[in-house]
Amino acid sequence: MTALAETAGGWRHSLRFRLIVASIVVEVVMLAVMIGNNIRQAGAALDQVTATRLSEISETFSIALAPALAARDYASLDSLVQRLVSLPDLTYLQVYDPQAKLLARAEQAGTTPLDAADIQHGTSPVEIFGQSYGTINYGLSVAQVRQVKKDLLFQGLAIALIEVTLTVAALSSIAILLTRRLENLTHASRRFAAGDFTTFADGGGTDEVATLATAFNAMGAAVRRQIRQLEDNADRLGRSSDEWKRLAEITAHHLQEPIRQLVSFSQLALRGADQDSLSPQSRQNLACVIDGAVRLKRLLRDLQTYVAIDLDPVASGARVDLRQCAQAALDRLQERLAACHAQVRVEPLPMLVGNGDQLTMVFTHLIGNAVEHGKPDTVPSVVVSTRQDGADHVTVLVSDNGPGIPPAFQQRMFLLFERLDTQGPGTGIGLALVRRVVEAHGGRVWIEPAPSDQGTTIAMRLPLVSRPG
Amino acid sequence: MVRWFGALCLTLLVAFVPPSWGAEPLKVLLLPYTNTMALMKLNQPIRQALETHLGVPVVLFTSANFEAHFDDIRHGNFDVAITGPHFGAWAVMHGHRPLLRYRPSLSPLLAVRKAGGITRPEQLRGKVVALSDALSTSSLGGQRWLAELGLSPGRDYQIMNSPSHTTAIMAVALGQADAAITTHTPIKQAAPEIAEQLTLIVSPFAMPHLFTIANQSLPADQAEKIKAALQAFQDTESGQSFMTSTGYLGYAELSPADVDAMRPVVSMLLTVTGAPAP
Repeated sequence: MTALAETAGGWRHSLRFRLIVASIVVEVVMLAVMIGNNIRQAGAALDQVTATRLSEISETFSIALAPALAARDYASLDSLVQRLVSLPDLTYLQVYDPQAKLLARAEQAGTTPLDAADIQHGTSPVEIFGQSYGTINYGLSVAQVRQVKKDLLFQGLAIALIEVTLTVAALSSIAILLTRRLENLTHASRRFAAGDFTTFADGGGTDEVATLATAFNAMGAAVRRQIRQLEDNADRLGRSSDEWKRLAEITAHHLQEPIRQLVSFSQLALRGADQDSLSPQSRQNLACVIDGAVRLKRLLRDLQTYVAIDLDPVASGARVDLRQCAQAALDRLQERLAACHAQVRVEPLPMLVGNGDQLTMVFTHLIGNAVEHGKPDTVPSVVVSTRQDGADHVTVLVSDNGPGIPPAFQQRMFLLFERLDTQGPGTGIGLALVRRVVEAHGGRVWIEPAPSDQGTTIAMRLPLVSRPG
Repeated sequence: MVRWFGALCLTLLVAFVPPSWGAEPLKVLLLPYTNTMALMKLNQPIRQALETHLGVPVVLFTSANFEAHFDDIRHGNFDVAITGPHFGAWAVMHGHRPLLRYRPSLSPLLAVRKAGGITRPEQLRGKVVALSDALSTSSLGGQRWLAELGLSPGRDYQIMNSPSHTTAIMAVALGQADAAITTHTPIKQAAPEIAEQLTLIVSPFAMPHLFTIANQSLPADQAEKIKAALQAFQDTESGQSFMTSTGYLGYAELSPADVDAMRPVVSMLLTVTGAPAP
């Protein structure tokens, strides 16, 4: 999206600009070559005309003047010179005898003086049948030729300028027509990227851009279908999940009553019976029933708590002091901690956004587990600390001095109903509930690797600011 | 021994090095009896032959007209001159060197149109007669012929002056004149389509043809070499072609008798030009 905006925003990087510049460069080069070649050819032709004219003058003047020179008829010679110099492109004419003595001369009269560059000087012998009777010097005006060359250059440049201008206009129009539809497509893409999936690109025509627009619209239609399907699926999943949660909660709630009755009446039966009315085996069996019912009741309670996590979502934007949560957990566990003289140290903990009750429950389960599964004959010791994990996250560590968890079980410990000590009072829901709360807060939980018999450290990586995803 | 060897080298050098007039070309003056280009073209074989034989550049010149030509002769503005017999006779009388003359005799004649009805000179009374130039041999000789027949210019016939023989002949062919006083040579050298329109009335007078003379300032040996070169030329294929096509037929010695034969005409020339007699 950013790249798209940057690309579309720079005029110098636009397709339109590059197309026009490339075309103009090519055209200017071609025009320069063409004009240069035309001027060169025209110049060569004009030079050839001039050379031909010089040759004509030499030949003509030789024919005209030679008889008079041969006859030394200088009066006729002067008359001829005066007449010949009146030719429009002749500026002067001088006739010399073989001894370089000036015999006749004339200059074009009544004309504007020419620049030196506008006169081409020529000299040629006056001959009859190979005999030289003198020499003529003459000036040929090439002003017209030079003017023609200038005119050709000017016209060439003017035509080139007009052509380039027309090309720019034509290419700009074409580029605008072409890129305007691309811009429309770009705008549609931006709207699409911004979430407006109803955007429709107007390609028009039958060209490549139209094909691209058609493909874009087809993609949009496909995305809209997928979104509708996802929304439908989400709705179905949402409804199904809600129903399942309600079912689980209601089931747990309604199972509590019969279990309580079972426990109560079993206890009444056990207490009300005479020593003789129940055999020891029956009493033991009844005690087992009561114990199983109690375990079932605790299991239902934990399961109800587990399910309730989804029913009690993490409060968005509410800041929670983790240290208070840990302290609240210690308050709940006060009796159990005191009973086993457990030592619990809570180091400074940060504030974060989340559900305080659920995080308190996490600390309760972790600290309770640590105390409950400590080494025999060892005073349980629990340390709650943190480890900075980047600027946005914190890793909370709950370490104990218990027997530790074998590596083979570490991955399974966070699954529902997974228990390492199947004989203990646990339900196998605690660590699964911890995992679910941490994940609901956008974090993850794991068991830190440690040498055997060095205790267990549960690590929880939690975002400090907000829940990602 | 060394002295003999040096003398031998000098002898060989003198013998085999062609004669040279230095850097200056040999100037050959031509009688302007036709237009300059035709004259130059006609005499190119002579120029080439002289250059070949003498080893020097040769330049052909002519004059604007007969009067200017006579001025050139009188002022010696030539090394070699191929000129009219009366001008040549005047030059020889004044010390220039006679070399050769063309073999045919020169007879004034009247060129008239074939269908013009003129068959005798007497029929020119009241007619227009074209002259090449008042100073030409034919003009002087032809007027002398007509005068002996009792025809005077201006009184019995009108004179139309033309710049050359060729122009005079063309004037007759074009109907601008009734007759032209000329000689055989211009008729021979005229364009066929012109010549075939004309018929000739030849005078009884016969004069030597064009003289070839050398300037008196030219050393005698060099004049002899020029003469020898011209005589050699007439024997070449080019020379024979030249002599045949021009009607000159070949060279003849220019004798004192030829000069003497021209004296009456020279007198007429001097009368017309007002030049001093020899």
